[in-house]
Amino acid sequence: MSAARWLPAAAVLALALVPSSANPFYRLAGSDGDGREPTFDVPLDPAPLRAARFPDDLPYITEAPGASPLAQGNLKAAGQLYLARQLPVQDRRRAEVRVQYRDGRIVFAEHG
Amino acid sequence: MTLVPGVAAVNLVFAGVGYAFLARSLRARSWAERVSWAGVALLIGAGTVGTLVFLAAIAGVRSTLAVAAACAVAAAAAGSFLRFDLPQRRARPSNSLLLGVVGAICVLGLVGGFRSAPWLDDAWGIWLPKGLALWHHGLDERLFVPNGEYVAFGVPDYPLWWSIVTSLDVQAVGDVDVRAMDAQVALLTVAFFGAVLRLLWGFVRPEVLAASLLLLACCPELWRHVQGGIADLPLAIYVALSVLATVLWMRTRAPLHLVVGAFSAAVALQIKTEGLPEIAALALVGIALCRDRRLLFASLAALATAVPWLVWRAVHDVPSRTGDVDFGRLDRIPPTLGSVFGHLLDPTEWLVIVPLFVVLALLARRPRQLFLPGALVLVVVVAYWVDRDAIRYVLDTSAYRVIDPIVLTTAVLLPLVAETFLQQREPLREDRRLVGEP
Repeated sequence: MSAARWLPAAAVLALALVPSSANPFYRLAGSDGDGREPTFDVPLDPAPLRAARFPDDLPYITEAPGASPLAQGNLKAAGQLYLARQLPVQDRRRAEVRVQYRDGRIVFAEHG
Repeated sequence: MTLVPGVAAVNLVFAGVGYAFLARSLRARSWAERVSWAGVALLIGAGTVGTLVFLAAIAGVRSTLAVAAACAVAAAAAGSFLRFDLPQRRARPSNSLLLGVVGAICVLGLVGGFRSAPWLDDAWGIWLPKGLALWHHGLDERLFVPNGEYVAFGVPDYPLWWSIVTSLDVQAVGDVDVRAMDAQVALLTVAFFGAVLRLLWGFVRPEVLAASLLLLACCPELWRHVQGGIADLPLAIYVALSVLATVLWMRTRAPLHLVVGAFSAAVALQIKTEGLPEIAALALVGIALCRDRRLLFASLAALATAVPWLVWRAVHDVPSRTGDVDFGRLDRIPPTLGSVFGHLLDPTEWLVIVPLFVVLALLARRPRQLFLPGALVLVVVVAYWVDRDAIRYVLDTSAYRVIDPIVLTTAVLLPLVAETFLQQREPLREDRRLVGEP
């Protein structure tokens, strides 16, 4: 079998190395690549959530006063993603930790 | 572990389970032939382990790696007793030029899967969090049934196979890394290419098979969906695999084809709610086409696997969109048809897969081949018709992806109708009936 038969496949692989947004093979290979965090719809750094060490089953609530519904939804999802060991509650009085969204930053507030 | 070894380890286990099912059948075969079944093995293994862990979750067991490992061992042990006579089909040497390009595109798609985070917020906002909750809390009604006390997940009626499989990946990675979702879809997609190649090998001349796979591999929408981390693509993969294996069974009556067809249908039922009407519609069409009792029993067995989740939903009074339908608003049908066919026929999304399939089926005088994807179109159109949400909103946010099973089903049938079409234009030869009609 001639090695020339594999040239088109090799060309496809080589083309993917050309960094251009107009290059479909480059885009197919993931372009510049993403990080491990979700691509949130709003500015949201989940680092505090990732670093949090709360007890299992701790009830928490997410709060984004004055923020858009999109930001509230993203915060809720981020909580369910990174605080999967804990339990999200709807009633503020039952929450032992409040996860708050302030200008793109996440801060924690203890109950009370 | 980090992303690549973690996801790779999970999928090696999946492939191992799949190979256990095929081990006795492949015992006397060459290593090259054994490797050629890798795509089928991975899809069987992922389907088996994901489904068993899902059933265990319904029974009250948390979806951990340990439970998955136990399910994998049990499935492999049970599967190793199976033996099928693999259909023997000889083909001329392959067109390695085209297949090499398909392989290169698959390699890039795989690399892209591991390097991209899902662009669809449902992936990291609903599917993966559900899987992580199943890991830490099990199928806890506080989180999986809407209530006024806890924050429950969206679309609570959806089955949990995709959440579980991606959660296993994240557990193996050892940290929340949403790229694991795209990596998993990419692996399933590449396995799908391998499975279609393996199953159709010898039934279709190599150049037709290679060209058909290349057409699918070149579809921009396919890889965009891979990088979206969406569940619609795994659903489409198992629906299409079910259709392909069943259509082949109609020609070979080989038990392996019937088993793979029914098994893939059963897995599809565990992925999304639309899997149930889609598989039921395909089963009706299939039974009407071949009128064979074995297909009826296989279809019923597959459909029965949906029962545990349906019972759990009923017992826990889980609300479902399917329980609140309105057949009175016929004005929803025209925009639905416009949107669905707009996506199906848009050459910038799925190239010419669907129109080419329709034209070839008509030219080859095989209009019955249109019934299978047609049944899926009917299900999608009816689903939009009877839904209560604003039609423009639901079409704009989902029509582009709920057509995935239609497109992939068409894609796997395309080589068969192309082969039929070409044979009809050749002088009579000994193997003229290589591809018959179901």
